[in-house]
Amino acid sequence: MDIQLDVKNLTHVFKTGEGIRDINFQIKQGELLTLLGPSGCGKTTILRSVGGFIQNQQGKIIVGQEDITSLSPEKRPTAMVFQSYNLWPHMTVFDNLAFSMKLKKMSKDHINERVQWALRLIRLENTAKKYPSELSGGQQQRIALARALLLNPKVLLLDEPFSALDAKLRYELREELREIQSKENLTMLFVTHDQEEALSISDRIIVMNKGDIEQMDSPRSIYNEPNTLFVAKFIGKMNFIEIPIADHKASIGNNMYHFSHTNSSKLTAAIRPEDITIQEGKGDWLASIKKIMILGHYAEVTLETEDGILKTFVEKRKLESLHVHDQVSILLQDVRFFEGNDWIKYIKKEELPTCITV
Amino acid sequence: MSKRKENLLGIAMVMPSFISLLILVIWPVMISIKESFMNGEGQFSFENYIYVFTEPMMLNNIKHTVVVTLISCIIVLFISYFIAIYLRFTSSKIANFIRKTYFIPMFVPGIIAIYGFINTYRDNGWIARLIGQENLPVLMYDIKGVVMMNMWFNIPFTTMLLVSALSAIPDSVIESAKDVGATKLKIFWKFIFPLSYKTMLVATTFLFMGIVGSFTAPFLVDSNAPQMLGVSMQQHFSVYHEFGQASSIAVIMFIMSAGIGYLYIHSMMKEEK
Ligand SMILES: Nc1ncnc2c1ncn2[C@@H]1O[C@H](COP(=O)(O)OP(=O)(O)OP(=O)(O)O)[C@@H](O)[C@H]1O
Ligand SMILES: [Mg+2]
Repeated sequence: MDIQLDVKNLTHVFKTGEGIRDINFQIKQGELLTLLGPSGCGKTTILRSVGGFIQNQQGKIIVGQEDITSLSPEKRPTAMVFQSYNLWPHMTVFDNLAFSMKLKKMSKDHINERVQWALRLIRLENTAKKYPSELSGGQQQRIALARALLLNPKVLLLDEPFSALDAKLRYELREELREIQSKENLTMLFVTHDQEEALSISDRIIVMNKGDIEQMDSPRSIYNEPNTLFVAKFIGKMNFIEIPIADHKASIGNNMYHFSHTNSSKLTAAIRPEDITIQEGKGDWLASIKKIMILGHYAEVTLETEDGILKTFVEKRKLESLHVHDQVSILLQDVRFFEGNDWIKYIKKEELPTCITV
Repeated sequence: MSKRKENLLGIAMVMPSFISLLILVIWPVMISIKESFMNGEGQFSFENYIYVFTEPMMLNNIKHTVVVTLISCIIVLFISYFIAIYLRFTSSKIANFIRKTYFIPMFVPGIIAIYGFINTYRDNGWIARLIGQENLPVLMYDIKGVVMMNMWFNIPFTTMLLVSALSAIPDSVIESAKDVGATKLKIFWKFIFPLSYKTMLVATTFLFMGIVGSFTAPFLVDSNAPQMLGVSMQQHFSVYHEFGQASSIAVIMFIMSAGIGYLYIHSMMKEEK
């Protein structure tokens, strides 16, 4: 597929020393790419660079075949939905939507038609005469989205468009956005600090940390195969245990992991809660149940092992046989190791002869 | 508490301020209005108003007042708006310096500022000595002097009002306008101006009322004839002892201010709808 947006070596460091450094990524035509990261990591800075609101110190931005690096925002084929205060308060919804087309001197009929089309798309047909202050927050953000769509942008930029809304509305608008995106085959660069939002709507995700890209991958890979400890900590729930390493070997319970080379004396093991199974009989590891917290149709069970605390989820049905202070054996499906911030692959997993049974 | 008692309590609570308003403001105003409709013998008559509206000197004074007020308002508004726009959209060192200093004139007592002004600009003042008397246009005891003084007194406050109005316009409003393709000129006329013109109206109202009734600056800096109405009223009162005529001038000044006040409220109400 065609590359629609190509960002090369983008650098912009503010006077404070914060900013973004040497950012490289591409978005394909019709793809939704999400920038995800904690507050202040530079997501908005990247978005504003692409939109033309920041003159970058270094780097190239190419849309389609056109190098737009030196174009001003009004000349760029991008449209942006801002983090807040999107609509023009002194204009009706109709005027908000029609403004760009009036600038282009389109005919009245055509403008009417396009505005109606946009309002139908976001399902707010009856709001044309209203002022932004007469709309709810969610409605305003949808109008802002419609206004951006009416520009026919080659790349649509969205800066946490739903962050000011409550969880339920955020969920609905997310669905709606995804629907519109696939229907209109839009190329989107989406910014959020909400990992759930990122995982649910993106084709690919860029996880950022302090102005650098930590990992760029599909949501599934980001979740299952985090490349750095930062990504592992930032995405989803994860258990972390520090384990000593000696002679390129480290053990968890009665599993011994072999590494080809290691430099430090300690590794961090990361285990997803859903990769831990509590079972009777033989297992990898011995633990005692410390706490059981019911969270609806499942429960969070806190386990204490000799190396640290682990949390896992247990279905309601299986809960009956578990009690606080019980000794249980646990099975680990998947463990990922990090040396410092970097993922380190083990070359061999070996089961020790000491058998653990309860 | 019964409804009645509650009402009485309410009335009792506003009474003190109402009574002081009555004694200190409304009563003297009523007396002035009454006085303006009386001739020397204390009988009802339009004599004072006929004097004010037929006497060529008085007509000139009214015209002069209107001209000074309008010119001052327009110049002050224009300069203040320009400064405010500059401060809103620039963050250079110069802009920061202006941002920190532009309101200093508000802290200089008026009379000191006026004497400073006179010493600087009169025909044998600082500037005249520096550039030669013949090169300095006549500023003192002339309409130009009063207008300049009005600028000194009014620009800081007006700028402050406009700066706060402009900084209330979020950056994203302007950036999203740029994003859809608006040029600088369009951004000004379609966004910045409509979003700040209400404050312009407020500023105009304050300016007009303040300048129409001003006394100190015109008294010390303006020409002897024509005079502004504030000065003229004071002369009729304490030099000619024509209390009736002084009162009628006061009433006319009041009506001018009230007219602008009405226009202001009217336009605000229209906006509300
Ligand atoms: N105009 C500026 N001048 C100086 N520093 C800035 C400026 N804009 C942003 N920064 C700094 O650059 C860093 C990145 O800011 P940015 O707005 O891109 O963060 P973000 O990832 O969008 O965060 P958030 O999720 O809170 O919106 C921050 O540390 C911020 O303090
Ligand atoms: Mg941001």
